[in-house]
Amino acid sequence: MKRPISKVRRTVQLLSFLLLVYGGVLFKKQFTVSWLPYVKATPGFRVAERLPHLITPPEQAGVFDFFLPIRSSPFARNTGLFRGCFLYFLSENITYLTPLGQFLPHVVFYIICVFLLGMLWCGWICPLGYLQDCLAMLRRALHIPQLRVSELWQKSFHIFAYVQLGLILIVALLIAFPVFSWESRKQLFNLNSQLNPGDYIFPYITGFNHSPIEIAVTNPLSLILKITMIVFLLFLLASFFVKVSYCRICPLGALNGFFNRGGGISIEKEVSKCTCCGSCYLTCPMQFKHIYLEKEKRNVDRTFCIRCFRCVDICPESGCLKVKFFKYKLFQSG
Amino acid sequence: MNSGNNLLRPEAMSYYERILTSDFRFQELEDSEKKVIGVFCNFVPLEIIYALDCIPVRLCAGDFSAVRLGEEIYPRDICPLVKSSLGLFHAQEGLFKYCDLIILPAPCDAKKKMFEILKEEIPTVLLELPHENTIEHLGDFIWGIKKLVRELEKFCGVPLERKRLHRAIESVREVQEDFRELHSIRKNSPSPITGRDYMLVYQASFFDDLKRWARNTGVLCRELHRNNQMASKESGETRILLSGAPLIWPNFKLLDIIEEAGSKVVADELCSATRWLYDLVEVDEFSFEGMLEALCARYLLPSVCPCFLKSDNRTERLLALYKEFNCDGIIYHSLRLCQLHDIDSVKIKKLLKGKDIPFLQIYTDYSQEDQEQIKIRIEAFMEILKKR
Repeated sequence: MKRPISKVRRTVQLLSFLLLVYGGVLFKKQFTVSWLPYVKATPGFRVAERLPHLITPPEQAGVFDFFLPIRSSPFARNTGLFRGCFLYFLSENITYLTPLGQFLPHVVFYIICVFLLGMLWCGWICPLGYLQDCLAMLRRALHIPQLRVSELWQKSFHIFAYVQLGLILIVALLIAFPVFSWESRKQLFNLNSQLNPGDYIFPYITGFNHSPIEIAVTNPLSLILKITMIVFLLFLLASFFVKVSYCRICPLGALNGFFNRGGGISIEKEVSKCTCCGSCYLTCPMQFKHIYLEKEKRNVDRTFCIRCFRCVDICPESGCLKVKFFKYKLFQSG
Repeated sequence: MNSGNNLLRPEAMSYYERILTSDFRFQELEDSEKKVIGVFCNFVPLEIIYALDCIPVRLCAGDFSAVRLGEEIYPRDICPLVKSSLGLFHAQEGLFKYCDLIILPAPCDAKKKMFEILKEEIPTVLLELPHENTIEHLGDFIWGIKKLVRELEKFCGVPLERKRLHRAIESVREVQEDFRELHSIRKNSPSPITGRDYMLVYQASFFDDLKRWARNTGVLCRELHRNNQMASKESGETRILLSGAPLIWPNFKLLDIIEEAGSKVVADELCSATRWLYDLVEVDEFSFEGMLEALCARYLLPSVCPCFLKSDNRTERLLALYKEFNCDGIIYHSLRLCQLHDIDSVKIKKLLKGKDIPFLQIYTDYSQEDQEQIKIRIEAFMEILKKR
């Protein structure tokens, strides 16, 4: 039982994790690209002002000022190669009402990225995804069986992801347009940065020991913040038992998922070769049944498919499942 | 004779003939200190039996003389496979003599009741099957397999260890990969191996030592590849896809008639042939539960047994095989008194008619009396195929 695709994927994941989280040490200085301008925070929302009692981290995070379609943390300072999470960019810049000239190039860059690779960013590059896979690898090594969630839960998780995505953008708009008082807007801002479990982990593993955990703990109005923190941390840690549990509710995954169909990467199924052995379902970390059930169409792309290609790797029928990048065949089963 | 049949008969075939026709393997089973576990059908995970350090042998019988023995004790109107098996069992002939325990899946009524009869005289375990072979019913099957594992552990006196199961899965898989090579050789036109020889090779694996069988099959494959290179590529052979009820050694009557009529069986979806070793166990996680789940999935989900509610899986396989092996027509073997296969043929017939695929259904049982009638029908079918 060789699993070549999984081996390639593990290697890519490890490399990208190291680059994204610690890759900054390779470069002495920061690079700025003229067509992707550096976006500054509005006064009042800088990390220094949010956490006045903490040491101020440098303004610019990564070596390159790009926001990739992956979930990482703005609090992971100084050591990363890129600035990370596009969802962070989106919510903060709506908050700042960044002028379109600075805002749009980043959005265009994001759209090009996800159009080319879709949710491949999630399954192969996202450091948060890799952390969850590490937990799952630990479980495998201990020979503890995995747990699956029921279909109803699975559906509600996906709805929850869309709800979060909507909430993040709406709250960002609420902060930008002064409907509420300054104090409550600050609380909303804290809440928005509370939804990413990466914020609780990356600061600590990169040596910046101040993170939203402290906002949640020190804030006087923080009951909601504490609850959200615990819920999202639990979702992340649950990936020890349930494969990629956080990816199921990831709002950025929901956004990336829109580009899964019709993008550069696609999975095709040669229906006549399928013996309905169900291996693709049993291995799917997102518990998708559609590849197993598909009996007519060639294309089996689905939003929320994190493109781990585990189904292609495990499928015993040669050429039954194929991964394509536009016209070119990348991998095939068997 | 057809030009396609001019190929040499591979020398490596002698091994399988020895296994099937002599007492050589029976003697080995007799001398072996390991327990011999007899299984019926195609639902019992062999890997579990190997992991418990026992030898699995498949008991489904195709012996005509044993049918008469069975008929003396049991009603005439049950399927010949069960009658033959029961006959052999009561005569204590063949593999039954060496079995310490029998595992009997319950796909059809005859086999369910056979359990009652067998358990009086020999330790027998019934493996319950769900009504549908979809992923929703996998849990039921896993439950049944777990029950089976408990019974087997009790019988063998040793627990089923995770590491041993892992090793067993990998060693059976190696065998299956050898088999798959043999299977794909038949895609060549002309096919370097006749359907009859293929079935001999295959059914030797029912009770042979699987490792030795795989070694010999590797040798056979190499020889077939050589023969294939030497053979002329222009073939006028009529390629037949065989479907329906199992054909079990020594009941190769239908195969003989088809191939004597100048055509070649190049593919089949019989549970006594390709389906027995074709599907691979794809384990995702090597925890005990993970392996059990993968095993159950392999034995239940791809099954084309007509005992399940839906036969979509079967019709799809049939059409895919027809295309993949470049067949000219389909012959459906209806074993008399096997209602499940009979009823399935209605749907298949209708489907194939819509697709304009030549289809012939042969009703027969283990007796030799209807040989001439079948011959006439098959020869007529061949004429139709050649004219197309």
